[in-house]
Amino acid sequence: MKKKWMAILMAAVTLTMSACGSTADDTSPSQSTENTEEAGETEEASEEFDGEIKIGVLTTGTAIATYTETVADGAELAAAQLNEKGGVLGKKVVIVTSDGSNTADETINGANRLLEDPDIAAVCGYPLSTGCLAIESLFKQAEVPLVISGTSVRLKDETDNEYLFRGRASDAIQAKSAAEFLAEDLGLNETMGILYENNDFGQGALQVVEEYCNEKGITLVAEGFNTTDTDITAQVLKLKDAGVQSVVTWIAASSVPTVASNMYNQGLTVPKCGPVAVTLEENLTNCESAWIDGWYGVTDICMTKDDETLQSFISEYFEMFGDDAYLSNEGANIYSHVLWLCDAIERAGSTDGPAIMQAMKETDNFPGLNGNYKLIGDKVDYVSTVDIAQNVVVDGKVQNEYIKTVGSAE
Amino acid sequence: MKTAREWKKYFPVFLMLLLAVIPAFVTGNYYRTVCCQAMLYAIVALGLNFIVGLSGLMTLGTAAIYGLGSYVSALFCVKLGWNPWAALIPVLISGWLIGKGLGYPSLRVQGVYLSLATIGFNEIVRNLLTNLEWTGSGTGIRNIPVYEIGGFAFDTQIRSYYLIYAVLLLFIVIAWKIVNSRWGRAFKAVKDNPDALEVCGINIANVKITAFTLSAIFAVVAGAMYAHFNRYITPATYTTDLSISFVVMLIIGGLGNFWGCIYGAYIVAFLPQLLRPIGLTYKLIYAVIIMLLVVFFPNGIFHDIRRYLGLHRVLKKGGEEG
Repeated sequence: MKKKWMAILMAAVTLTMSACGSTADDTSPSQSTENTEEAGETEEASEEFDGEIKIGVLTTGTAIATYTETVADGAELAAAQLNEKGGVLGKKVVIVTSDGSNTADETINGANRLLEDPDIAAVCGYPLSTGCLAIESLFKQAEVPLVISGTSVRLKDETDNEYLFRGRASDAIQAKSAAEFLAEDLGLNETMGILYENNDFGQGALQVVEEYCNEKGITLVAEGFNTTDTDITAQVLKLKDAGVQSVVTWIAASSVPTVASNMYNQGLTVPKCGPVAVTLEENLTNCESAWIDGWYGVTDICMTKDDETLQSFISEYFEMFGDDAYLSNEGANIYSHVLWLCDAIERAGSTDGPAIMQAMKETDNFPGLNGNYKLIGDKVDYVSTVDIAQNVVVDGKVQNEYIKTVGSAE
Repeated sequence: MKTAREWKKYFPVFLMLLLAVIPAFVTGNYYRTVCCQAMLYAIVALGLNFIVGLSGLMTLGTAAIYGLGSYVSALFCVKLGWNPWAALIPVLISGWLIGKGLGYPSLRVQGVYLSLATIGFNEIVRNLLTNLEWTGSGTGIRNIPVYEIGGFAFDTQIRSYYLIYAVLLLFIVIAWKIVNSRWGRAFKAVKDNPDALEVCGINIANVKITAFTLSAIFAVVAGAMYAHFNRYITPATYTTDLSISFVVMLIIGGLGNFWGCIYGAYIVAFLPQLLRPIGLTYKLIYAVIIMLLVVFFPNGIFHDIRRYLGLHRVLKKGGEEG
């Protein structure tokens, strides 16, 4: 009897949840809470605008929750600023988010969900290269521009899609900048180590650093590990025994504490330079200060950089979402991407996919927070600069210190 | 007037007709893609049913077998330029070999130890696919060709749907024949009374290895179909999570319940998509629902709901009358 009631209860709960859900799109937590409050305002606003322009934002959902939060908020801030100035083509800019999770199937489903909506003019946001590789052809087929944040070189080398745009520096630029910084700025140009993850991200960087070291006559010692490894003592000791002068640590966010603690515990104290993950607050809080003190990181945007536009963006971000909101370079990137897309729509004078694509291709030094956007080579890449930051301990807390802006087009 | 049991006989026909007309009502690529994923899962679940549902052996390495099917087919087509249909030959051979290879450990280890051994197999395969250069490493294999018949390419969602539907139909017939054959009865006996099976002179080792082999063949074919449907594969897809999802499909459908494999696959594929509008918490809610389903409907949703509502008595009575 109990089971019977439980079955009825479960059916009721499921139906209620589905019914509740059917009225809203996928939204970030902050958006969900605001939906009801803003309902009245939206009605008023819709009278001011001549319709809506929807920009899709494909996130990683709960797979990388901090990323999702900052990306959704960055996009919302860009839309709010544009709407304050009268929208785009007289229309209100509306952000529609969808969860692409972190597996190819889920990314395809998330992208298809956005593409189902005929009012979506363009899509941006997705950061994982494998997911970007899985979905790019869907956008080509649908003739909808896609601005990706995945950095793999394969996204440029192996695709033939004029609807594909990358609004951040690729691994070719990022990893090369890390190696260049260690070898040329710090003068450590005899033996370099690279510790990389055995995935597209790490292997892409390995290829770039290998090419750079071969060109410069630097001896490279390469050690890889699997993402789920919790002990990389063997790899660290091999690098140490090889007498490397510096190490490029090309690792994802989840591996930062493992790599940092292993290197610290094994006494590998040479200068290290990693990707943006080693500079992000969310990763640094999982590490003891001593593990990561002094590490260099290649990032799209160093938030402590003395740049008026950047600092103004940061102030407005926290003003809009509160002091407790989380902001990373990804949020700033998406903010730039939404502005870039809307700039192209404005120039195209239409929300028609091919017209937006053409306008984006003709972008000439659009001022993004992570650099000026202009086509590099013949396709896909539009950003060629990165910032080098250093982790420094101030009052027991790790902060990023801006070192310099670097990068090259090829 | 037909009795309930007589109507029940037509259930497979209704089900397959329903699946055949779905694309007429589902026009967008989003749900058509999910339908294709569900049908591929259903093929895997039908095969897994031989091991988990009928023979009672718990295996958690199915995603790796599914992945090997995808990679074998993709590698033969992309690297060697084989036709996708011809690539089914090495795919089937690989399924046969994997099934034999995995079947032997099942003779020595049982229960939780067999589960652990198969999890180990899943991780070994995934790590190999991630680390070997010729498998495309972490970024996988792109530009996998689609199936073609006489110049007719299955290159759209709707065409892929009917191709996968046809394959599912074929595998339903094969699985149905196997379940109701001497093999099927032997699988059930392995779970229910292995001693009696031996007394009857049936070699349990052979039965177990056959179950694993058949299951692997179903999984590799589904994996190959998946590779040519998606046109891009990466090792990150074939995780232990996916293996667990395959077992969940069987449990939701009812362990050993033939048609349960199919609706279990559809529930696992569609439920998260239907919950998406809830927002970021949808995966949490999905996990809670699955957990509750497993706890409160251990024999499969429809079986238990029917039982709770007393319908099974009606069906039974109808059957007796009929």
